[in-house]
Amino acid sequence: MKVLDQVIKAFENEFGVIFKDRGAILILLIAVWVYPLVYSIAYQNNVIRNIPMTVVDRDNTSLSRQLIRMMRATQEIEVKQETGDFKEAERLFQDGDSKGIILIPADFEKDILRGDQSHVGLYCDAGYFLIYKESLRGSFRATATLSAGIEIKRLMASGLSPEMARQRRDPVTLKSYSLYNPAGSYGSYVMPGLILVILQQTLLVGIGMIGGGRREKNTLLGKSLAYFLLYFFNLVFTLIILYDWFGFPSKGSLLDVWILMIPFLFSVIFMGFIVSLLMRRREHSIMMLVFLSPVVLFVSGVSWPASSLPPLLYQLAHIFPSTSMIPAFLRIRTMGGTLTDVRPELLFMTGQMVVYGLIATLFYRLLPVRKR
Amino acid sequence: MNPRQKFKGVFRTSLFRVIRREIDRILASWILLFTTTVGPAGVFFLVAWIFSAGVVRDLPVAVVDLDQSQLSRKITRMVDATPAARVIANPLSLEEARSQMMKGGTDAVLYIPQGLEKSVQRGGQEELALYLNNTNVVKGGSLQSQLTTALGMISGAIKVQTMVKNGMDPSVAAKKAQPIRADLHLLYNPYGNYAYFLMMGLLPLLAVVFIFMGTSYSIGIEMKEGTRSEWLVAANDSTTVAIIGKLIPYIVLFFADMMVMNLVLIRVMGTPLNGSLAIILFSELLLILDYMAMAILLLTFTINLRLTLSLGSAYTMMALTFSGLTFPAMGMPLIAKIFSWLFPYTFWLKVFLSQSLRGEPMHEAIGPLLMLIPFILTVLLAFPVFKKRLTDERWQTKK
Repeated sequence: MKVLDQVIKAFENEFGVIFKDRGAILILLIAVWVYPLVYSIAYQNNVIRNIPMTVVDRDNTSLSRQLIRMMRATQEIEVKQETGDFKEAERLFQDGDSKGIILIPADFEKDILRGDQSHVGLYCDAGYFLIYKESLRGSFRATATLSAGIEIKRLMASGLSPEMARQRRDPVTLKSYSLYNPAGSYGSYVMPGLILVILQQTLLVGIGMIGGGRREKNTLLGKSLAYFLLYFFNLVFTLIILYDWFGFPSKGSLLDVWILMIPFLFSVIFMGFIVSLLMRRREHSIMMLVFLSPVVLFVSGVSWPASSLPPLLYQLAHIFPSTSMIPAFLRIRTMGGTLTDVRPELLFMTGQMVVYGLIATLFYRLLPVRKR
Repeated sequence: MNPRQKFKGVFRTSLFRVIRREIDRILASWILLFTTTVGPAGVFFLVAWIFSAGVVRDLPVAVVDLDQSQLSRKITRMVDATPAARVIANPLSLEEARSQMMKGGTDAVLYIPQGLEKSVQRGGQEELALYLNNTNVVKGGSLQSQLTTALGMISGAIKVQTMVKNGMDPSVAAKKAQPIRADLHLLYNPYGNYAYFLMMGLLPLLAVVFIFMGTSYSIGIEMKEGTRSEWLVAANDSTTVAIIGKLIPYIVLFFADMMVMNLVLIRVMGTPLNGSLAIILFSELLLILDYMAMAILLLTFTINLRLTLSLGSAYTMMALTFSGLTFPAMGMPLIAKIFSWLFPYTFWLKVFLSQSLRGEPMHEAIGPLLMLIPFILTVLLAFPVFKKRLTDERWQTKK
């Protein structure tokens, strides 16, 4: 059992090395927990509500007031000020007191009663993306609702029953169902992928920081197992405790998730060894990997869809195991799929694990021991 | 001393000795060269490449068409014509479509019920169903808004057709079909797309990462390698000269990187420059000094280069989340808002947005611009301690 002894010894040694190194503990144990926690707190409120808007009502009729009431009734918008003066509204906007302006034109009611079309002006702050999207959604919905009501009244005036008028107004309707993240929560969308990228990058940086060390036979396997065990605990924290705490979507079987984790973590660990063996100094691995972290996040298809990435870049991104892992993980954990749904990704990561393992072994034997 | 001698004398001062020494050190170290030149410039263009498509486009959508009529085919074509969607399959059942979605093959399923065309022709109403995979809210949101608009147009066209058939003038019918129209005016961002926001936050963030890493490495490595006495000798034993002389080449290089960043943001992406370029450039200089100060501060407290680098990576990266650019600060808990003041990046972004997209009057930028100064001042407070740290033995003994 000489091989097994060597493996166990290397495994124990590596734990000793990790826990003696403050920098490594910081990355491999603290950052892994603190990062996801801090990001989850930041995204906790999840959806934007009550965006302050200013209404410029140049009409001042019962219909214009009805529109304002409908604007108020939306979740997205809060009508903070009403004024007749556009200049005043502009000033409030520039001071940051309101995030947009709704302009109801003069003769709004008169035009509509006459059967003409009236144009309501929406001035939305596109300087911040989510504010813009939500204020737009709210004000569009309010005007559309009022518009539909007027149409139905008109159709009824021409002799149709309320039921028929409603049908005639909108012959083809669309009912949409948002699956898997019905509330459209920002945290549930971004955190699962972000957690995986954090796991991957901290593991790469951590291995890079420790690097080098003694190189005896079979130590690579022993060392890898040490990181795997350590990350098993990190997974329990991030993917079970934190998930539960912040209520991130958790549908599929956890067993499937763990199975997926095996090739993912080993691919990352072997990649970590390869990077650390190539870098002459431990500081260099940190510097190179840190600036790559946001890039890895954006080429993985998490927040920017893979279909909008340059194809060559998306293919290159598969060097990082997270690129295959994130979509597979989301399909199981968020959507409730099974391993058969992620077979291509599972096979790819298993291949990656084998290839990276072989390269790491080769480098481990051939490359010189670097400076500390 | 005549002026000429005086001029030559400047180049013999300790400050210039330190600067020359640092330039040689940068040229001799691939990691310092990378961090100050190729790295930032390369990654700015890489990010520009990532987001070069600009909008979310061609997401796979499956259409379950049980009607198989002229109208249902028209709807399918309209869906395919929206920028966000691309019809990839016509599965025969919802079950089949669902399993396709589970395998990652499609992001949305549009269900067209049987008898759609007949019912609509009779003047009835039919409901289509759209099942969106909202795991990714950016994809889900784009598909929902664009497909809703496309369907609204079809519905509107049918309505107008009916009115025209009943003898109404087409132009009157079009107005009647929509009594109130909402006209959208975009303020500050002519494009209104997501990529734009991400890039505007990401490029300066990456610049800041390089500034922090480069500064802490260039100082920390002197202690770690035991070259600090050589460094101090060049500076005539003045810590102030040593540190200023060391930082000058980096200030110049990082400022040049900022110019590349401005070029990508303003020229390549087309960010409108509605305010004062001078203020933007000045704020960028302050941003460099801020993160240099933070690097020195962390080195002073940790007495450990690797610890500084890893703490610094957390500190620099987190700024994006708390800056409010991707997720607005108004939606965050108070604690997160207060947290955001710990990062110079937060204030810098305010200055930049105010003077680029927003084109606000200069005095609007003064507040956040002033907030960039306290970060630099902290290093003056910590300087006596830093001076002592330079000769600390723990740099080398510690792991």
